[in-house]
Amino acid sequence: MSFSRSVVKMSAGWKNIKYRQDMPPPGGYGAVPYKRNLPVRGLGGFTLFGLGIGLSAIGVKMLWERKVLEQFTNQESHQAELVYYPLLQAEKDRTELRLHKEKIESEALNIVGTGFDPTYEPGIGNVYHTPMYEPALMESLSPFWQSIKLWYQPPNIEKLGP
Amino acid sequence: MPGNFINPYGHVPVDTTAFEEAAGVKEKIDPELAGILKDIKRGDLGVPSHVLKASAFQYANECNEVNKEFMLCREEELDPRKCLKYNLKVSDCAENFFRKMTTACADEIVAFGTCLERDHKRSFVYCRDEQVKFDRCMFEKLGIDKKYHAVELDQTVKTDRPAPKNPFKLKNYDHPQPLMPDWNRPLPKIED
Repeated sequence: MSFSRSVVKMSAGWKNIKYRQDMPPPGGYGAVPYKRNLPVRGLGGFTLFGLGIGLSAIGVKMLWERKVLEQFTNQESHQAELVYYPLLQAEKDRTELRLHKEKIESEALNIVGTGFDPTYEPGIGNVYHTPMYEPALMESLSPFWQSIKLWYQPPNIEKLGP
Repeated sequence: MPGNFINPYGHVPVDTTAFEEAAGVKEKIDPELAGILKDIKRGDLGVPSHVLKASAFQYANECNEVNKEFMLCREEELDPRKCLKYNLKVSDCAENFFRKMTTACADEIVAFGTCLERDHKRSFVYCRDEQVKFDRCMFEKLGIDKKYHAVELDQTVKTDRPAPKNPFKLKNYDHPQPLMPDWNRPLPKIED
């Protein structure tokens, strides 16, 4: 390299060399974006809260309607079963009265008829002579109930030995 | 066979003794007692549970008053021997209702009942088409509508039977009331 203060006449051949110097673009470079860049991405803020509350409200409404429908169907089903309680109780009362009749018949046959206590007056239906009505139990004398008793309470067969 | 296709045998037979038909006993029975002994030999309705549930709201419209009377008697008297009159009325009402229903709307009730049987809880939700057809048939042919509140709370019942006295059969129930003073008598003035 040649650095000198004096003007040195360079040779003419330098102009024949064709090259392009790396210069800045015409008009200069643009402005440098030095400021803060924090763009708002997505929904954000109150919109998100509103979306959440809105979708929850839609879900709550769906659940409320389902709950009302479920309550109505359960009440409908329950009422249809309760309506027949008196009819079934009336039929049970008639079977109870039939068993009561058999109980008193057994008093007459087994106490008076056999001669165990001829002065006994049947018609009470209980041991301690209470005036209240005591309903008959399943251990009464009808053969139908006796046949069921053998299923629910099998007899105690005593083991006489190993 | 007597009866209908729901209960082809006509009735559920009753299994009891026949002591009252014996020789030495027949002469000593009053006709009133003989009537009672015949009444308690009445059998049950042979209607299956899916048919009962299907026709519940129409049955409530017809027979709710009679049923309430019977339940009131049962709870007040605590003795089924004293409520036999209402017991038979309940069975009569039910018998008449089911007889009418099975003669008028047989196909609809059978379809509804078999649809109900498919659900283990016998819920009405899966059988709305059959329910509509049955309700329409009942209303058009017999004029019987459904009852919305089939089972009511806080209800009053009308009966001819007077209220019972001493249903628990307590002794000394008729003690006389103690004598109390006349609270509104004129009192003497007190001067300080």
